[in-house]
Amino acid sequence: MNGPRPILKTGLALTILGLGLAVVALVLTGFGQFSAFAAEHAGAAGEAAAAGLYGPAPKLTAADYPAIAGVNGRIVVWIVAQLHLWFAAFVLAVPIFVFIIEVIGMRTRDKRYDDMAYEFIKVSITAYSLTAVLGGFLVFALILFYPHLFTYLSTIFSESMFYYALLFFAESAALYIYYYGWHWLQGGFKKWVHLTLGLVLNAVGTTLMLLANAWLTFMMSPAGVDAAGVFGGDAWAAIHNFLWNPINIHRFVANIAYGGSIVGAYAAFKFLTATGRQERAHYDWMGYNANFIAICALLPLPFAGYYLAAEIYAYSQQMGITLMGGIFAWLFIIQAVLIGTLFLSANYYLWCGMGRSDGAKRYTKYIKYIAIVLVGAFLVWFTPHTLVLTNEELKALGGPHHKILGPLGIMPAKNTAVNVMIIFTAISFMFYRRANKIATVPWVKAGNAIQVALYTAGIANIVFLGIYHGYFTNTVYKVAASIPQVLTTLVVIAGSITLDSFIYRGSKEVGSLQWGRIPERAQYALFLLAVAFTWLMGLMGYIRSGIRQHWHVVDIMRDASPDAFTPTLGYAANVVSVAAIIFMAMVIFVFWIAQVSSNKTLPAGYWKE
Amino acid sequence: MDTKGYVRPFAAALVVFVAAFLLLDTLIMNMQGLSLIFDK
Repeated sequence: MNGPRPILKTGLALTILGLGLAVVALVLTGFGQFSAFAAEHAGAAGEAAAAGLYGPAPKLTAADYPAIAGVNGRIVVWIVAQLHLWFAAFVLAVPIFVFIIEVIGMRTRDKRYDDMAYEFIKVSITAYSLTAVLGGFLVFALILFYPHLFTYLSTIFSESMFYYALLFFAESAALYIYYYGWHWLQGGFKKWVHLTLGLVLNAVGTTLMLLANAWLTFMMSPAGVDAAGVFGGDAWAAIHNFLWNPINIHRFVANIAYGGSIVGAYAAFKFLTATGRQERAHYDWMGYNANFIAICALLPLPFAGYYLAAEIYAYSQQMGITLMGGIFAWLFIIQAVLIGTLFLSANYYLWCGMGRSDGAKRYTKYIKYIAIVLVGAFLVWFTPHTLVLTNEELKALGGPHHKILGPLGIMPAKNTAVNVMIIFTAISFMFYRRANKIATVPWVKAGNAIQVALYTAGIANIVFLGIYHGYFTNTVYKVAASIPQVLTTLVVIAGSITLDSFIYRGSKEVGSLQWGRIPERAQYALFLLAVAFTWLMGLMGYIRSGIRQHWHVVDIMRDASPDAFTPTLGYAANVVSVAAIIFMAMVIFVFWIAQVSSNKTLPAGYWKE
Repeated sequence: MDTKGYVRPFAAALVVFVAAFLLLDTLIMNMQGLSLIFDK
């Protein structure tokens, strides 16, 4: 009787795995098939366009924008779209690292990872419902307040919107089975099924994001339409527009950093409300892992952002100059302050976390130097190029540029500063990792010397590239020098991690890590990380959308509504801040629900006491 | 200062890394490297 069962089990395993992989493959290659389909039908669609099936982009007047109950349509769409995006970023990112943590748990056979992954996904379940509700609200708001724009976009993206709806069902199904089946699908083969579900969930979620990104990037860099906005019938051309991939990369990385910061805030919330020592230790460990995820994604994020900005310039110099040289330039100063805050709080958390190890005192003396460099780079990053001054101040200064600090206002200085910040954050992390270890290899001194030489040469090279190409060559080289700067940073970090792994091979531990031995103020650094990320995304999202200025679809469809003007920065910052406060209130609700769901009250006799 | 155990490896590694980074800069900053990245 025992003979056929393993065969049956293996067969079933292979079938389910095959099905899972087939779904993933279908999702991943969906675009290609879609493209082939579009290419096949492009001719016919072109003829249809010529026959008048697709009209030009509508030319609107203020009367084409319905006024409903005296509500400002732009503010409603702005806030709802922003709230939807924050939640969507969170619920798309969490399953990515939950899947990775689950795999780590399976490989290491450490149940703590599995428990942590489950707790992370539990938080995202309520957030998922809110994402869907806000998505529905956004569609209604667009239909009500911008009916012509919505009709035009849905004509071009009809197929992708239909697939989006189907994929949304698939994602909901995968997420609910993944979450509710967590404890059911444990051990051996069942765990593989669960992991496959996680993979499917992530593939579908990422595809959803890619589709939605196509709609918004079409509004910035339209493709597949002629100068009058007549759709040529090639849906893939409209999806695969100029800014699609730069946004895809930037959002994918940023979502992971954001997701990490939000679950970090959850862990901090649970740490601060924990009553027992064991519970504090658990949430301290969870907070550390969340911060680690956020830092890992935060390090490459400035490069992804820089790439996106460079591609915006490449697509339209006018849009690029509006972005960083025009009205939105001062928001980039706020961006620099917020990103600097992110780096400082992430580092601060790591420094506080070193207290978990008794061996950390060997490295604490270096922290003040890291802090000085980080603050110095932070100050360079947010030094403005042109100051906003009164006439008296202008006279006293001799112009809008400061004689000494003025040169720090241009990108080469800022690129240098951000690369130095990234490298010093990597040093903080290296110290954290080393804090509880004692190297045993005989060449430890030489290894450390090589390590220091690597950092010294790398930083010297970044500063040299920034100063020489930034100030003594022409603009083409100024921009180009950012590439070797980035590569230097990556080489230094990768080289240092590799060298460290050799130096600490077979190392001894100072003692067991004291999880939970971290000051409460460190938890506020995690809160700060989440709030700064949220505000930053809101402000930068406004810039990305705002550089279209008076266009719904750049150069194709003009915005003729009474709100077709760029608001003052203070006004925009207020709208984003109100949205951020609403989002934070909703996030607190999500945390509270997650807390309530684990509370149990044992009734004495139900309602018949 | 431990010359043999620390200073010498540091100096040797510094020379190697500086040379390697300068080579990297030269490769990327020459026109061919630029055109690979910036040409559309």
